Amino acid sequence: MNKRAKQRLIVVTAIVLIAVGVLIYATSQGSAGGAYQKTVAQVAADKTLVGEQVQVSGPVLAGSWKAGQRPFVFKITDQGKSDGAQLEVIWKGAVPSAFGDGTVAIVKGIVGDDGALAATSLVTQCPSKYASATDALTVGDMVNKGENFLDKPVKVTGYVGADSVKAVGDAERFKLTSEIGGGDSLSITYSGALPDGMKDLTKVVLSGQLGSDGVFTATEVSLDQAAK
Amino acid sequence: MSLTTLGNILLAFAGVAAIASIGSIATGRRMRGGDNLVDMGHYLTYAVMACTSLAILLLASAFLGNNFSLEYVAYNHPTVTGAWAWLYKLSGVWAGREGSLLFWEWILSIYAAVVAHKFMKKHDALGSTAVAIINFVQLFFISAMFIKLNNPFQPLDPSYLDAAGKLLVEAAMNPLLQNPWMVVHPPALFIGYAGLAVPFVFALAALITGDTSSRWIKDCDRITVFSWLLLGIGIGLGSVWAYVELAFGGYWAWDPVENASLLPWLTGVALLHSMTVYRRREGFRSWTIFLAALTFVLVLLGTFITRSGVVASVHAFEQDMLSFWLFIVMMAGSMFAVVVGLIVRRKSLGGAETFERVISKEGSYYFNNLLMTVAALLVAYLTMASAFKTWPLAWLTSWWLGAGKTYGAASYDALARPIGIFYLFIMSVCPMLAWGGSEPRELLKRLKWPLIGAAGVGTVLLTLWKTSMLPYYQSSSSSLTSGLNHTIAIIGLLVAALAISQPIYMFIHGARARSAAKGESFGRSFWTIITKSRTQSGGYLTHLGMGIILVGLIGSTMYVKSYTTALPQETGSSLKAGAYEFVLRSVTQKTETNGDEVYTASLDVKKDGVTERTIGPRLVLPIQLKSKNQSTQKVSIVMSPVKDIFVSFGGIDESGNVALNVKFFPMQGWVWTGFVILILGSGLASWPKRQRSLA
Repeated sequence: MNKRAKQRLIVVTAIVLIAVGVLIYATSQGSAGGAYQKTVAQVAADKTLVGEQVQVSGPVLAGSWKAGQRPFVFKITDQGKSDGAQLEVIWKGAVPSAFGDGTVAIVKGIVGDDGALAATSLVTQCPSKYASATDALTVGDMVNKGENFLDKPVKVTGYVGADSVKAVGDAERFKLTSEIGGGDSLSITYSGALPDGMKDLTKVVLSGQLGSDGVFTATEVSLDQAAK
Repeated sequence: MSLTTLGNILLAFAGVAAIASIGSIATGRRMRGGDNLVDMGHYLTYAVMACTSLAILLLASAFLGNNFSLEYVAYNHPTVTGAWAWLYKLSGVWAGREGSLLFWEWILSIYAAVVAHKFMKKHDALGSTAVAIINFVQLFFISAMFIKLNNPFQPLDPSYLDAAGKLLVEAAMNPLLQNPWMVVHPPALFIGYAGLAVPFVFALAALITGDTSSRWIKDCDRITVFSWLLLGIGIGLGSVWAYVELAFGGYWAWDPVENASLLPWLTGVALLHSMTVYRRREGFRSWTIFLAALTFVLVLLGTFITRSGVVASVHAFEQDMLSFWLFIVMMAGSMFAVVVGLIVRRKSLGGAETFERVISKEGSYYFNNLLMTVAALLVAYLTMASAFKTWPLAWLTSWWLGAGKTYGAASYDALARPIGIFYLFIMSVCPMLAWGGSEPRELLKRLKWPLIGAAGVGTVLLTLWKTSMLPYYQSSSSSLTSGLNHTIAIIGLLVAALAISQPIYMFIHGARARSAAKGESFGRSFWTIITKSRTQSGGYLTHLGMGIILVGLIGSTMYVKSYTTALPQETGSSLKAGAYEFVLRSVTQKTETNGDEVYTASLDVKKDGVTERTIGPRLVLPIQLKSKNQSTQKVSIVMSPVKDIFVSFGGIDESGNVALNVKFFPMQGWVWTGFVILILGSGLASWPKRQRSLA
């Protein structure tokens, strides 16, 4: 192509690219700019995040919200740490589909002085799996074939290990054994309240997931119906 | 033999056939009298298609027969019952990650077979090289499926099944996916994705064989337009689904998965137009080849983003580093191969065109390429930025601007609006520019009638702005921002006016010229232009669709007004929203036959005091999600030419009040109408030519 046209083309290209650059810069200032991905624990601990735009995701804490409330207030925790740090979220818009206890909510907004998040966006993550087993698996299944069940929601049944129940906050909450007083043993963590009537050697049914470290994280613990 | 073994054997055979095909063609091309070997390579491509087809058939029949011995079937089978259950079962094939990879590869194998057939026994260097390369791409996907996490034929642990074959762990397809739009959306996308491998394959073949004339364009341009069209349809269907199924009220949220599909569509637009210049003027050769490679790389990136969870969760890699590196190497390798080729063949890529002026048809094509490439790179960057500090390539990217940050719709919109409006301005002006440009006086003469038409359409649009959009503006914090928004909207509407009137002018002008020259009636000329100059007419129609979409986008994203309230649960309580009033009649509850609980809020919609209709938005608690208090909503949408009224019922709160959200979306219908016209236009343009010899 001829030289003059080529020079002009380069100039116009440069103008376009600079204009886009200016646009990008202008966008990055203010709420249209990006948000830092942080965990609930990080937001709670890091005071420098106050006034900053952050994006946090985590499961909705059961009992922390009321349907139809305006503005809509709820709390989220970090995945698997429902007894750890919590983040209060204040949302002024409509509550999306699939919102509920345990649904992962992805919130974006500015951290307030009180540590609560004034959300500018709220979406719920599509739940990819949900399970309620009609027949529960055994402790033996978890211990011996555990790699097949990793991170899948399942139900397990077994007996509470003798002298194994501890208070909330410790890594292991109790042990689940395949037979009364013996057999295969599975380490259970659970941050909720244990059911009334649960004692050593009681038969219980747990819902939860087996982690790659061999510890079963329970989301629900109930007494076996048949044992009544 | 178990399904697992059979399925994996089929995949293995497909892989072996692909390797053998590459080997045959490579060897045959080098040997004297190696033509038979090359033919063998083409036949082996059919074999790959046969094996993958059998594999898909296997998976589909497992779904149709509720065969849960395969883990993938157990986790992706639908719970819908009734006459259409079989269709939803089929959709399980592409509902999850592993199955969708197999589906992708199957579609690709069909394209490969089509290409192999086209060049069967022709002993054409370029054609056979293309076949070899497309088999290499297939090999990539097949080997990806042999990574355990990607394999669709993994067996379910037998302890998950009871003696009767019934599932113990009741995992299944998400209810949000069990609707008609979601059944068709993925196949359309995959047909588009897989097809966009074809221009890349031919571009690389042209570089390898050294034949950089326009013939490779003629070999694959129909497939390219067709694939781009299907990709567009897939994107549109996804938007419709989002609008109708997800109660957030909207159809595009710049979600990573949405962006993943948009990226190759953007560069695909540039690619199609560059191919035109290559074919007709032997110009823009390097650009076209580069865009073919970029589009393919973005297709891979799109597949990677959607199926690997790289953006949604930074922990996704720990599970599957092998897949991560496989994708990265394939993307980088493809681009590298093409860049090397462009350098090696730079002398023969010079091209015949002389670029005389910036303001010319070729100038506008240049800006088309530039803007679409910049736009795609921007969207890709913003989408991936949140992973830049934590993914395995963090050593390279952690210091980049915005690394670690997540960008929401506000960020994308702020960039997309000015760039998009400028781009559509160029789109409107391009058809009126001449090759080589024209004297300014000549240019103004050409622009006279389109500009007059644009002034007319513009007046209508600005009136609509005043009456149907402005009243719904939800003002933001500062008047500066509001002023800026209105300015962008008005400029956008003026550009849309030009985008709409220009193609209409070209049709009328063309028909009149023809009817004067041929002595035909205007109507006959008009019809002939549409049916005989399909590429050109299809292009005009597509541009017209884009102009209409722009109007819809401005109204439905910039002038949305939302009202949220909690109505007391008594007949007659109402929500006032502008000229409208939503009066509660009743809230009823019903349990469906499948166990879902449905709450319906029945409301009268009044305008200026007169009841126009009754609507019943619903809150559904699907039986599978009951234990988690999770619900889905079936919203009510009242459509009219200048707006949609979107009403969602969020349930009854603790005080017994009815949670209601009403949103007004001005010009929403223009988005769907424009989209339909876009599809018709692209379809017309991609209609096969009967004679190929005429340039």
